[in-house]
Amino acid sequence: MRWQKYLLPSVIFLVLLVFVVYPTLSVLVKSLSVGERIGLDNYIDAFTKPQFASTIWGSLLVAAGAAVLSTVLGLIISLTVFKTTLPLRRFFSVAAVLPMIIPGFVSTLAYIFLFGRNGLITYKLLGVTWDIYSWKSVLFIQTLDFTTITFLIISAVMLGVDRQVEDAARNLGASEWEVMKTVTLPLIRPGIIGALLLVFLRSMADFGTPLILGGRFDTLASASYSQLIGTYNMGMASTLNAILLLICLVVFWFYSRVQATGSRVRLQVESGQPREIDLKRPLKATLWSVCLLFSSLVFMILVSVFLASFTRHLGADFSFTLEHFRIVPQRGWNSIMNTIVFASITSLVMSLVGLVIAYLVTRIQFKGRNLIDLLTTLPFALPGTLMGVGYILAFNHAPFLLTGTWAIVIAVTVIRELPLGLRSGVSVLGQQDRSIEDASASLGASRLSTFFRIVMPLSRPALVVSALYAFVATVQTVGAIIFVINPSNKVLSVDVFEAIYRGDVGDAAALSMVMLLLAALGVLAIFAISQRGVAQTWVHRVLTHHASAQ
Amino acid sequence: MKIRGKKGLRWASLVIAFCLLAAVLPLNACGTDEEAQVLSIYVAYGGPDIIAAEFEDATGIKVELLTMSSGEVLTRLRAEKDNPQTDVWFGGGSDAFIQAKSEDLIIAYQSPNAGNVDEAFRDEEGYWTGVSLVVVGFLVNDDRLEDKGLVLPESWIDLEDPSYHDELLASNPNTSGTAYTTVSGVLQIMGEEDGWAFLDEMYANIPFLEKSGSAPASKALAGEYAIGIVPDPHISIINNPDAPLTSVFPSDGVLAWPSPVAIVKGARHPGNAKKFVDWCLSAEGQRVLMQASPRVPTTDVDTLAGVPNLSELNLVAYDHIKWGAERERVVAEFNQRYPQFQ
Repeated sequence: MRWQKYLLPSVIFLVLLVFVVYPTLSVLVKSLSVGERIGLDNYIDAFTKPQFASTIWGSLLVAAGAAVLSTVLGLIISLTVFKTTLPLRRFFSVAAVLPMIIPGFVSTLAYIFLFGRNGLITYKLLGVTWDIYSWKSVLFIQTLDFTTITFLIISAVMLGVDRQVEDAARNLGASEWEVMKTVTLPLIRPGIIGALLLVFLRSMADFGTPLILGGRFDTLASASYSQLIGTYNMGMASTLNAILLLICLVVFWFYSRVQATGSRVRLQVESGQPREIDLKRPLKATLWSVCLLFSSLVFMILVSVFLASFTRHLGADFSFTLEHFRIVPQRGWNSIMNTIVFASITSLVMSLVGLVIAYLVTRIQFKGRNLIDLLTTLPFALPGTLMGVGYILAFNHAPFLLTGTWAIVIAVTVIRELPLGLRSGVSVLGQQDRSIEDASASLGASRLSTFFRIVMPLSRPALVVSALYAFVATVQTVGAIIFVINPSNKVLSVDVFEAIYRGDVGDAAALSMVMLLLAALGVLAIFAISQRGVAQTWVHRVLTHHASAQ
Repeated sequence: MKIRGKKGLRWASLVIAFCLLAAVLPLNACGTDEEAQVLSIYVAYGGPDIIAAEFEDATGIKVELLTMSSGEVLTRLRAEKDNPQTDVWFGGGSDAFIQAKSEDLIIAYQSPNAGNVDEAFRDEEGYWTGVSLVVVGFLVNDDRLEDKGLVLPESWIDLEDPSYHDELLASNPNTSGTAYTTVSGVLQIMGEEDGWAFLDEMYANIPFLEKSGSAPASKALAGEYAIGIVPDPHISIINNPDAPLTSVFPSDGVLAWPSPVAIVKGARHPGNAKKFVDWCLSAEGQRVLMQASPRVPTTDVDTLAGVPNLSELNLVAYDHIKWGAERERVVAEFNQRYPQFQ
């Protein structure tokens, strides 16, 4: 029966239309409307008024800077950890993954304490006063934060390079440096370019760091936040987001092209120890020092946040207190429970729906297959502020009156994580032997029971890993969620963000400790699972497809 | 392996139907007649948890809070106009409440306890009632001031001294009530022409503006900047008794504004909202508010140690009605004069 074949795709298509396309279009329409008429006035303002025009260039430059710096760092750490026998390699790799549980806006707390105008290191130790509230700080924190992504992507690609190719080059008489230059680096190039573009996307979308550390410096994302929350200029907020969207879509287009060519390179996940590259001593020393500097910074930040949660006021009054943890059960309890519930539902729904959509687009022939794939993947490129503004515009009135319900929060988080669910679903299905499914079908099983009894059990390791990842990401997300939260469904990440924004260092630190703990549990679970055979492959696949967490 | 074909399909559709039902039900549950014992509040006030807990103890009504700046509340109320999400707006600047009244976002309620409040600190039609006063002053970090070899500023006019360059922090009048009162209050004290001339000098000393009014206080406390123009500087000192801080209430005119409470138009729990307003203005409520945030009260209750007495301050009769009405013009002028802070 033909209609049945189209039933599920149509439902999914409608859901995507309502939760992805409609909010995005609402933003575009709003940005083009001036009062009752249609016009480009907002765009003219955005490009000519100095305060907005400068944000466009500012965001582009900082995003490019963060992309280059964190990719270089990620490459250096990957090389040191996987291609040398230098000491402290394990320490470096832990430090490189650690920012995964410390969102950028939490790092800013410790950063101000350590390097601020009255910072422990900058002022008290070195006696310098520098202008901490500027684009440089934003660049610094973003670089530190996003190096996790670049490290994971580059190391996965590096480990996947077939050792025989490198050995062949060696046998032909190439020096280690030549092997590196002519074989290894070209082979991992797709990974490097992918990392660059991904960090660029993430940096463009990050509004928390510039808001807290930028001082006068604004990015498109942070300016759109202030335009909305501060001055309630919905038109300008929409316009800035529309410009941001355009930039992100262009970058995303390049990113998906790189992904497509990258996957054609035959990669294999090796279980054995990758071979060491014998680099010259000064080079080795440089690599190692950079890793050490990076790792110390990450640990210093983590320790500072930890200390801040037990200190009356970091930077002013260093006496020990448990006062901040009093507010955790008092004010934070609801938020903690909401966070756990929302993150659990999100990860469950996201991995199941992701697999269903993946099944549809890989196994079933129907018109509009590519469109569903595209619409599901699109949120990956959508900045959080755009989705937030879009959801406010779209769901505040009939026919989709959802503002203030928990449903809208779940909708936002699921849609944000769905691209990850789809990608891991597609790649797990790509690995599965279709003949088992065919056998099930020829024995008379319906599509549905084949899906539930064959496809799902076989995909379990991948599902669990991506679900856990979505849990971690949802626990920390502020981007879109901050716009759709109301008093009855607050979450931890927004509480932390608001406390930092207000300057309540201690409360913010105490609440972040709880958030870090939740995220750490998720990450530990991922690593625990990854010790077990098949799942290990999926950890790499999922992590390298690091969805936008903020 | 037993394979269930049609049966599996039916079972699955049942599950899906139930899920959909479960998702839709809570949305409809809002329309019940009896008012639930909950109250949702947008708060721009210190110590909201204490207030919520005490109110709950006194009335049995459970309070759900969302804290934000007063500009943010206004933004939210406008955005949610067709579908209000909250019952009460508590705290923030009276200017934002005046704006909200003119935009029909809040409703009038004459609380029987409003008589305790001086007429200057409440709306005559009862749209909002001041529960306490927010006093603008300077919070000075003594250590940093000494380190930088600066003199303690004592008046507004002192702040135009270029020696304070890059050591003075304030907030943005676009987003903060404190900042708007500072700008408009200075214009009232000095007159428009001299006022703007002074502000030109003062803002030249300020590297950037914080979006929230209280953030400069936290930066002065942390020693990031020597001086912050902040609401209620004495509260930072009460909360951090060991920190090297001094509060200054400018000798050439102290600016203050009432921090009101109001009921949101379309509130889902109007009865509970009224109870909350009554409670805030009662002797008991005022005592709790003083505990939550030691501000200068609008009614006649005992103040805590460290809270300045109204009679010691050279309080300016700040015309919040006039400046509330002129907000847009003044902020536009501000944005035009200081584009660097946008």
